[in-house]
Amino acid sequence: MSLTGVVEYLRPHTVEQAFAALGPAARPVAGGTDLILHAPASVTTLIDLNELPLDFIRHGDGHRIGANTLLAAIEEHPELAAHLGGVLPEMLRHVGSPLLRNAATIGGHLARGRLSDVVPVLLALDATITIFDGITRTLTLEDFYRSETHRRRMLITEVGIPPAAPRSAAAFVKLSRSFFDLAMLNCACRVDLDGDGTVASARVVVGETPALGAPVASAAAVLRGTSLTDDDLAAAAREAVAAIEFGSDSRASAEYRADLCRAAVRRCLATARERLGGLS
Amino acid sequence: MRVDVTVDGVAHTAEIDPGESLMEVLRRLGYKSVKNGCDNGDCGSCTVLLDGRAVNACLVFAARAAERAVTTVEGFPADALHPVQEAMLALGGIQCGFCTPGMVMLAVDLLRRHPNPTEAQVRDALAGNFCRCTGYVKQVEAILSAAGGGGG
Repeated sequence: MSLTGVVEYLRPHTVEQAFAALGPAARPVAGGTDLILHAPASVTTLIDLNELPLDFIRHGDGHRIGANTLLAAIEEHPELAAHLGGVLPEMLRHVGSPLLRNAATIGGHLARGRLSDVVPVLLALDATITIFDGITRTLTLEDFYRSETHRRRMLITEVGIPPAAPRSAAAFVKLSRSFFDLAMLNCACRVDLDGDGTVASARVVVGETPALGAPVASAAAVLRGTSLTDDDLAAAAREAVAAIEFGSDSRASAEYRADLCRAAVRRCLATARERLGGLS
Repeated sequence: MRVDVTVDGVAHTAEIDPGESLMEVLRRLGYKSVKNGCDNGDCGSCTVLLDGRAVNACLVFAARAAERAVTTVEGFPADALHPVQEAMLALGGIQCGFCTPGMVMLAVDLLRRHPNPTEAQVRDALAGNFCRCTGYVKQVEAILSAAGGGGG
């Protein structure tokens, strides 16, 4: 779907140049798959970010993923694909279609900050995000969205995935009307076990409530110290339902989302538990 | 603006609008196998390879294809069809033919990455390529057969 009214197409070679070009009528293009459909009519300048050296996956203390990395490249990366029991490919296969994942980038997706299966999983993994807004700085992905930094004038340069704890697993559940549809609700979780097999720490993230995914601290708190019995999972699910203010939209009603949330949290944690069983 | 783009090995210099999609530019250049089905990234009938990866040409800005290689189904001449095309013909993986070019290009990309895909992998890969004539059974069979025949 071509955009009309665009008169200028820039290809900056540095992050500083790209940032300087940003403005109300100038939008950055990473994969461009969302912008080409949804850009406001006021956009007259496109800033192509693909000349920036941001297409990389580096292993060091965890993984660093350049903002221009294709979603498909994350799916195909052997170590990222295996991270915490395979939660990244488990989630990514639900994102659009293979064609979309061959064009959409992680930076572009996170900048969009809406309708996301990716965000809950990255939050569950305690991901960080590095941005440039005059200076380069790194913040947690949770702070990035909580402070609405994604709506400000900035460029995303990198995403960080911390290394996995020794006994840790994550999982993702998407509930949608059909495989291809956007989620009515989604859930990502991560559980780290102590040496004695009880839960040292956990993350429970619920998204498409219909707000963007956010960690539910109370649900994670009730899991701490437990051995993940069915009752523990049900308690976490109850906490999540109680903590979240659900809303209605064309995909699902608030009431239905509360039911979906109860099921999704339980299922997601059960899958993580299964993966932890496979580790011991 | 002017961009240099290579399509099926042929170098073109195209005059494009900065907001134009790759699909529109390819069709203007005469590559009519790149179908405009939905112009919304849903149907996959405009699928082409961009530097070897299958993408929706309607969702990619044409300017992004500058100095990159685009491959359409027209890159496989009639006397040297890709194994996926041979298998589609042999097994009836086509009916009206509208979705076929896109589906072939998707399958070419799939078999490059997964030379021996499972049926589940083929079905997952086809998630963004719609066929409104059939139930996908013959296309899935054809792609699996092309893989078995050393395709990709």
